[in-house]
Amino acid sequence: MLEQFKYWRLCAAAGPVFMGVFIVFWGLMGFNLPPFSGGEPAEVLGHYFRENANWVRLGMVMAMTFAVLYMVWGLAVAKIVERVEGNNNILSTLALWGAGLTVVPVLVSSSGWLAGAYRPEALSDPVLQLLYDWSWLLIDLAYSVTSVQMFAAGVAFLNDKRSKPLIPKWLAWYGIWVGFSFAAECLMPFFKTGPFERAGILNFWIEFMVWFVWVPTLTYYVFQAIKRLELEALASVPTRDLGALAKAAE
Amino acid sequence: MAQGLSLVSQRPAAKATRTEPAGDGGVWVFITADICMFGLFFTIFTWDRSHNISLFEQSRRLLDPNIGLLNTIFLLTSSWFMVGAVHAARSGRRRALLAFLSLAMLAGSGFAVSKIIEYSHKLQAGISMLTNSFFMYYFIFTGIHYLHFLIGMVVLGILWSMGRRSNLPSEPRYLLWVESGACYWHMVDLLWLMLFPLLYLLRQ
Repeated sequence: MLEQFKYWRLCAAAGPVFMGVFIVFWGLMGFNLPPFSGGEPAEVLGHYFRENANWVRLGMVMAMTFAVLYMVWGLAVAKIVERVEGNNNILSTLALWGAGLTVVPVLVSSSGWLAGAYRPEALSDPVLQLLYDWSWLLIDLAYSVTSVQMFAAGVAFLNDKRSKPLIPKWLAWYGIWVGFSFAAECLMPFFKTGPFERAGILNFWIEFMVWFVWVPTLTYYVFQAIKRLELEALASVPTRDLGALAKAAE
Repeated sequence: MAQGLSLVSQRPAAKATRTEPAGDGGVWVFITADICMFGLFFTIFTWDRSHNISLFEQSRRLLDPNIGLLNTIFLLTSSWFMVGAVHAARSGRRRALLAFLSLAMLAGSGFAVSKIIEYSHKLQAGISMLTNSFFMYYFIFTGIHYLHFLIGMVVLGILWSMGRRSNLPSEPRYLLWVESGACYWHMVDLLWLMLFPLLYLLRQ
């Protein structure tokens, strides 16, 4: 294994770790899979925070701690984009910024749920409902930063001139489609019930599912791309340096 | 042009080796995902409608099927011109390609205008997506479709702009993008051909 690609792989592995932590701690422990419907009365939200305060605290603390891994994973994706786009680094920069900025709404909205769980006994039901609503509005409507990552990476992968692209074009198109489909989140603030509310089939189940599919699938192909780039790097090294490389590979 | 757009690519290199779909293979992933999403939309609509038939029927009567038909004619005409553009690109006829793309955009503009007029009439009558379930679906589904339409118009504009450059129409890469754009444009039609009867025509 070449030294430089060791860190690429490490960054790529951060994606599945992020997803695992996000699902277990933010989702299951934080009672966000699925969220409470927008139509639930404030008393239900108040009861939820008071009865499950410690679970929510732990879930959100872990979610906030590991949120940065999405940016780390985004760097691995951006490195592949960089290799595809050559000297022009616009798309790789956009992909990295998109991934980095995705961390912000995850962090800030998690802090909203955490604030609700910090002293729920001292807060009224409407205040707890406000914190819950605000956190969900933020995490859903900050979709555009993640879309930027998806569009930039997708466009770059579509322009890959290799006969066998580093990332398959169907995945590039899928990522672009997911980025577009996130726009449906704009409907969420207008509804408290039905398919477009925060717990609705479209605005929660479909939108989160398509993202949950995109991250691990892209991670798999990023690992494959790294392997190819490493082999190409090894093939381009003069024979006299192969011994040193072989040692490095050990 | 009367033969229509074959969904099989006629790029020489592709023909020699294997049969493959028209346009970039990956664009079909986008199209499939989009159609699945709309398929889910239609299922949800039908399910909700089955529980509120009288409300949906009363609301449906407030829509003008003539405007819906006009929209359909604009879109189908635009797609027909797009077929001409693909044939022109395949045979390397640049002037014809640019003319067909322009006509496709012109017909598309008719849809853009008639839809805006339709929306403004509804809003002036105090009907919005918050009025009831039917109009929630009406505004959201046709709105998302309209967004797809606008993206398609931008794609046509880009293809027209690229086509103006010399030699491009006969380049395989450009042809690939024309075919991909045409496939997307037909998908916009197909979705409307589902939306039109579902929203405007489906009776109690």
